[in-house]
Amino acid sequence: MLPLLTSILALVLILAGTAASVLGILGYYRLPDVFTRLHATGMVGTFGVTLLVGATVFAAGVAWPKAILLAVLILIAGPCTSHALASAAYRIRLPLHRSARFPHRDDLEQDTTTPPNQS
Amino acid sequence: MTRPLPHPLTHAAAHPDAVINHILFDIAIPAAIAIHIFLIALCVWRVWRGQNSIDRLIGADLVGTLTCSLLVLLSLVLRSAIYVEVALALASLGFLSTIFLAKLITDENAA
Repeated sequence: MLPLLTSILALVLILAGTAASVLGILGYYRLPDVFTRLHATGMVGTFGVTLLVGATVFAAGVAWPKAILLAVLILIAGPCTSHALASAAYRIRLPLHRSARFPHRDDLEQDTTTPPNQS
Repeated sequence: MTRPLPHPLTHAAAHPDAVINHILFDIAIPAAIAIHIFLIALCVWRVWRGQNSIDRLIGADLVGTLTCSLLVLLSLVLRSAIYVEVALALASLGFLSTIFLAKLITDENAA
């Protein structure tokens, strides 16, 4: 049986990590664009797994160096993966949502197969 | 002549440690495991019926990440360190395979 403060801390961390994962998958389903979906799903790796690793370290205490190594690996690998996926989506010229505005959008879209007056 | 044991619920209500432990290990962690399995099923569905290749690749990466968090929850329940090691290997393999597939898609589709 765990002490009271440890249990409350583990409970809060598990609820926060699960909520972050649920929000990430909700954004993955509901957002209209590959880039905005990447913006939402970065939260699953960073907050979800890291808060659950924090709960494991505080509550169980088994193998905390391996758990911290897992958290550090995911904190490094998650932004690298998001950057690689966004770079690939930009280079194969995936269509953006029509509300996206940035300076070189016309240069990006001038030689794609989609017609320019598509709403 | 022995005194009767107190009822478990009243006994638990007398000690807040037992109440919080009951909420943590009997309600919160099984609910979190069920929610993670449901989210993995949603990601597998999106890999199957995706819109483009990068969308499917995001789904495959999310399956690996959610399986990592599921293994961390299992190590918390079963109090065993072997699940954390499995999650470590899964995270590194998923990271490398996702970056390799993103580079492969870029090289094969770039103008």
